[in-house]
Amino acid sequence: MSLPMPWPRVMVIDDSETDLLLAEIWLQRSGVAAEVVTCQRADLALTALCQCAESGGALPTLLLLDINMPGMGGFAFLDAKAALPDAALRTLPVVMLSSSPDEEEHQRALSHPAVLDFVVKPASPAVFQALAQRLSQA
Amino acid sequence: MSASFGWRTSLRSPGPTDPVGSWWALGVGFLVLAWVSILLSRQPGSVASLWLANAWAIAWLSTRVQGSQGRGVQLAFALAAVALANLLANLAAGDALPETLVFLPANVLEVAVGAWLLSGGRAWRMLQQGPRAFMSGLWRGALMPAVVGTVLGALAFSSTSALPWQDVAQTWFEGDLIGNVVTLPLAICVLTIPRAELLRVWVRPGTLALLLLCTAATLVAGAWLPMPFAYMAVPLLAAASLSPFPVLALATFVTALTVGLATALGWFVPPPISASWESLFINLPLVLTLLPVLMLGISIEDQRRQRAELQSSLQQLSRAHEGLQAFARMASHDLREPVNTIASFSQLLQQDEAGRLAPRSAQFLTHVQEAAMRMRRLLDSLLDHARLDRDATEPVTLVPLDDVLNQALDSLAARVRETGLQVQRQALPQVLGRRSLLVLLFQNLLSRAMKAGLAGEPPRVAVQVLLTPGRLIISVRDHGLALPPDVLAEGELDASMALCRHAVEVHGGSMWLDADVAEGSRVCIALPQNHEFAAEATMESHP
Repeated sequence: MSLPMPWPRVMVIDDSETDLLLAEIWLQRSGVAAEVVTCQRADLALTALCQCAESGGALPTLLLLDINMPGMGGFAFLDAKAALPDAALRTLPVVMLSSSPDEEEHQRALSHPAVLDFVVKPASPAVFQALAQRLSQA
Repeated sequence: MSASFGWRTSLRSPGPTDPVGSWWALGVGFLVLAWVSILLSRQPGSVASLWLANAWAIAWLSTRVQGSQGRGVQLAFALAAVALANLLANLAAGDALPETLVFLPANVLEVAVGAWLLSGGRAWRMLQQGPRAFMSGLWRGALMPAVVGTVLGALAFSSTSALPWQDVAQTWFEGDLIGNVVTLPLAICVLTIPRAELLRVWVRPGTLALLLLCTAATLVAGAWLPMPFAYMAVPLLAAASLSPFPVLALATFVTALTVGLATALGWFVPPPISASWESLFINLPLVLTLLPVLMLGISIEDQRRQRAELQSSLQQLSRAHEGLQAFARMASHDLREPVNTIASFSQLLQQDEAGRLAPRSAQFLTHVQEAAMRMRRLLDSLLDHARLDRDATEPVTLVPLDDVLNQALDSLAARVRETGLQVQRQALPQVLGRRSLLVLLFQNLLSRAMKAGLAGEPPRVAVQVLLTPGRLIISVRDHGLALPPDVLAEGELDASMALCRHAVEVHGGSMWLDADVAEGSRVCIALPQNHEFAAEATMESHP
């Protein structure tokens, strides 16, 4: 899977407001994303994606998804997304975000077919540039 | 037999309404035991007597008369009850009053001495604190009272009768000693263990069978076999090993009572081959036979209790440990978020306000950022420590060190790119170890080398491995800032080196700093390797 650079539209899903703000700033400053949409709840993000697909709107090119969230967590979101009828939504690529370097979480995330990569927070322009480089090579 | 431990928990405070602890129990118990003893001693065949009553009173007094308030009064009442019961028992057996009064002071004083020597919780401790406390309890509550009673009794009797005092003393001492030794443990069981627990271990088929076996062995061996006491000990030895102590105490008591009864009734008339039953020194060898059995029983009981205690503290410890690990994981995970926020926003501030900030303020912001970074590294090593404890139980396998080094480099990929780390490596062998710990070890050594890199040039690291029979030596050489020579000393360790040392120690290895290095440092690690596996590993990696 290779993504066009810069990524036209990235959706960041994270319960932490500060993390969302930072992700938005870093993604734009590092020049890897043209447009950034943020969402503080995984279930709402899923609904928004479904509505967008139904109305024929422009879907995000990539999802940045936090693992630890109250309510629907990152892995629950992945499972729900994989069960959607719309093929475009099912295959929408995801990069997982975690706040700690946990090897088990890492492996579990990468074993998911839609997950392309795994990033340990805090993100920074360098981290996103490295990520963009990895994804364009993949 | 672990089910028998239930009674220990409720032992300390016998209930005030417990009927065996009442004044009536003291008096009636004494009366019955004294009356049985007197009847036995009056039988035609009996020379040796068995005096069971005093030990009951000693046990009662030493477990019931407690606390400083009104203690003297209680003691006086109890001794008066003992004296009265003694008197009644003798009268019931048909003795005249003056005769009876002769023995009264000796018996009452014996009880008082025994109760005093066993006071202060010593009676309770006899059953609870192993063979030493048990032996000491018998010394204080059985032997010493018997000596006191014998001396006083013999003096009193010889002043009023024609019998030589030595004969009286010997009979008294033997009968008193065997009575005390077998009655005292049983009486303390009855007085300190809740009745329901006692009945649970006593009233069951196994205990009944044991008591029948004890009686049968005693009668058969006593009537027909030479050295009969050795045979009497056999069922008791079985009880000592297999049953809870209250069962053994009961069986010992029954055995001694059977000997007394059979002797008194003349069933042991055919003289055994070793000595005549009519001769003296019958009870002394019996005491010496029963004592080791009791000691064995109490030792095994003590072992059982200690094993159970050890087991439960181990469980507690492991629960506490698991809790601590879970806490460390949670803490390092949750604390990262605020630290990340501090680091990120101060970085943003520094970027956005670069031209506007006074140089001093920019410097302050740098301090904030550095502190946040340091905090994050500390949290990472906290997480690593928690993980390391978990991985320490991972089995030792044959691990390809090349894979380990690759995995460590992968996990540090971002920083390796950032710093331009150059790793000089050879083909590495397979070694015996715990994979995740070895990865952790290399991660920390490489990360330290990157941290120590000199400004302006990419850090260089050389990893070398020497596999000798029985030992693997890993050396990691860098050319950056040298580690202080005492970096591995206790108290000087930073989090990362502490982690390395922990990982090495879990492997049973050692870690040191090569002192003969001109620039940079060389950290050496030796890990033990099993002989055959090491040879195999060498062959596989260098075919």
